[in-house]
Amino acid sequence: MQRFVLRRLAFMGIAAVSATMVVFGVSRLAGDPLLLYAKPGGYGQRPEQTQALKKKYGLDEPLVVQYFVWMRNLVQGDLGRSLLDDRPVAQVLKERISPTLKLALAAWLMATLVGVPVGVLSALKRGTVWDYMARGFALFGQALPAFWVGMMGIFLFAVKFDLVPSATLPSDAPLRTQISYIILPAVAAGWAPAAGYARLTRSAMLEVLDSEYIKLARSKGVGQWTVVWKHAFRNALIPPLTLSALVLAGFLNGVTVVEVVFAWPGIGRLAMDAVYNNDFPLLTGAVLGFAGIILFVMLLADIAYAYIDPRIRYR
Amino acid sequence: MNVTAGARPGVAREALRQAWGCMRRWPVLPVAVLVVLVVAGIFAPMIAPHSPLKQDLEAWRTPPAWSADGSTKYWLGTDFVGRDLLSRLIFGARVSLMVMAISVGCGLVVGSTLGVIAGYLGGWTEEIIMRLADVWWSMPFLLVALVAAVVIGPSLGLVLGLLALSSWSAFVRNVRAEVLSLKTRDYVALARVAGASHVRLMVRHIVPGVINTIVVIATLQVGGLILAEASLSFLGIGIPPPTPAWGLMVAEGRDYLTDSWWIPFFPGLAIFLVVMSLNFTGDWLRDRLDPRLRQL
Repeated sequence: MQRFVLRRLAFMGIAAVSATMVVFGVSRLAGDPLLLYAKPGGYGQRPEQTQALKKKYGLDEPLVVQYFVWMRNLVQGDLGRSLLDDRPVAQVLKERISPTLKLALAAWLMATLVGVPVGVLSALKRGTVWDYMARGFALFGQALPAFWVGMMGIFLFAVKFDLVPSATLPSDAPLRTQISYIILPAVAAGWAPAAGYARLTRSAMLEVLDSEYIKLARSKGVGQWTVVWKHAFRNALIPPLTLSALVLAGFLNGVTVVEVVFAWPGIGRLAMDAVYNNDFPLLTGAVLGFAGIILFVMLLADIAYAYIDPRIRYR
Repeated sequence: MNVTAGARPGVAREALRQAWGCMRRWPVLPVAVLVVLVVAGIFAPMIAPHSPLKQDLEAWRTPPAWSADGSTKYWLGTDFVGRDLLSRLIFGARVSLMVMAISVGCGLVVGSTLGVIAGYLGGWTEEIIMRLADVWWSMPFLLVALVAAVVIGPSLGLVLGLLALSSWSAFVRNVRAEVLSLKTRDYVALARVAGASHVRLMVRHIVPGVINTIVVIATLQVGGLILAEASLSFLGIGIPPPTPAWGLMVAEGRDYLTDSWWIPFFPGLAIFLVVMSLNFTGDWLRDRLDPRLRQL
C-alpha cells in the first residue's frame, strides 16, 4: 500500500510539472507577453521603454531561464497580476476556490447518493417498472446538457414557482439559506455523473448477482438483505469506483458550465471571464488552479480505490 | 385476446401490440430521430422555410405558432433579432453531423489503428501508446479548449479538431483489449504459419474481428462529443456566432429566458433528443454486437 501511494505521488508530481510546462509553453505561444501591455509602437511607446519593460519582466532571458523564474514565483504563490483590475492572481483565486469546492462537493454528493442506489434498485428489480424508471433517469442524465437543465430549472423553479432563489450565493449566509441556493446548481451539475454511476452500478450489480458465490450464499439460506448488501453490493462497488475517472473528467465541464449559468462566483466562471476579457495571467492562474484540483482529487480517488480493491495495489 | 368482440378493435389492438413488440426489439424512435437529423442536415437549404441568418426585427421574439401571439410564418417562433428558430435548428443539425463525421471519424481511424498496433506488436510500442492514451484520457478537455480558444481564437475547425483529439483514446483502449484476445486465436497462428506478413495479418485477419467493437465505441462516443461541442459553443469558446449551432442558440436565449422561453428551449431539446437517440442506439448495438463492452 505504501509503495502504491508513493508511486501515485510520484506520478502526480510528474503530471503537475508537465502541466506547468504546458501552461507556460502555451502562454508564450500566445505571443509576446509584452503585447498584453502595449502594441509595438502603440500608445506612444518608445523602443527604450520596450527594452525597459523587457528587462523588468525578465523577457530578455532565454526561455528556459524564464520558465524557472516563472516556476520559482509560482512555488512562492506569485501568479502575476490580472490585467483587468491589476490584482494579484493568487488572491483572486483564493476568493474563488471555496464556492467551486462547495458546488463540486454538493454535486458529487448528489451524484453518488442518488446514482448508486438507483443503480442497485435497477439491478434488483430488473425488467420491472422500477428498472425502466431508473434506466430512464440514467438515459436522461447522459443526454441532457447541464446548461440547459440549469436554465430550465431556473425558469421553472425560481421564476415560475418561486421555490428556490436564483441569485448569486451570498457567502456569509446561514447554512439553510446556502443549501437552498445550491440545490438547483447541484442537480444540474450532478445529474450526468449520477447517471454514469447508476449505469455502472447497475451492470456491476447484475454481473455480481449472477455469480457462483451469490448462488451459494442463497442456497445455504442467507437472507435477501444480507446477500444484496453484504455479499453483492460491496463487490459491485468496485467498477463504479474505479471507472469514475471518466465521471470525474466530465464532472469538471459540468461544474464550469453550471457556474456560468448560475453566475456562481467560482473558478470556472473566473476562467470564462478571463477568456472574455483576454486576461491571460488570470486565465493561466485559473487553469493551474483547476489542474491542481483535478490532480488532487484523482490522487485521493486512486488511494481510495487501492484501499477498497487490493488488486489495484499490485498491478 | 378477445377474438369474438368484433374484428376491427381486435385488429387494431393486434397491430398496436406488434408495433410495441417491434419498438422493444428495435430502436425505432431513436433511429427515426437520427434519420431526421441526417436529412435535415444534408438538405437544410431546401427544407428550411427561412434563411437561418436573415433578421426580421419587426417580428423579434415571436412565440411559437400554437401560442396566442404566434404566427404560422415562424413555426417555432423567432429569436431576439427575429431570425426563424426552426430554420436555425435545421441548419444547426449540420454542426452535429460534422462532429459525427469529422471528429469521430478522425478519432476512430487514429485510435483504432493505434489500438491494433499496440495490441498486435506488444512490447515497448504497446507501452508507449497505452501510456499516451492514459495521460490523454485523464486530461481535462475543457481546460485545453479554454486555452486553445484564447491562443488560437474560436472557430469551427478548432472545435472539430479538439473533439477529434479527445475521442481517440477510447478507441485505443477497447480495440487493444480486443486484439489481445484475437491474436491468440488459431486462425491467426495458422495465417502466420502460412507466411502472412505482419501488415497482412493485422489488416486481413485482426481488423475484421474488431470492427464490431469499433462501431459500438463510435456510436457511444458521438453523443458525448455532441454534448461537448454544445457546451463549448454555449460557453462562447466553440463555434463563433452567427453560425447556427445549438449550444450557441441556448446561450443567446439565456437573457430572454423569463419572457421568451422558446428561444433557449428548442435548441436544448434538439441536443437532448439527438444525444439520447445516439446513446440508445449505441446501447442497443452494444448488446447486439459486443455484450462484453457492457461496462462502458
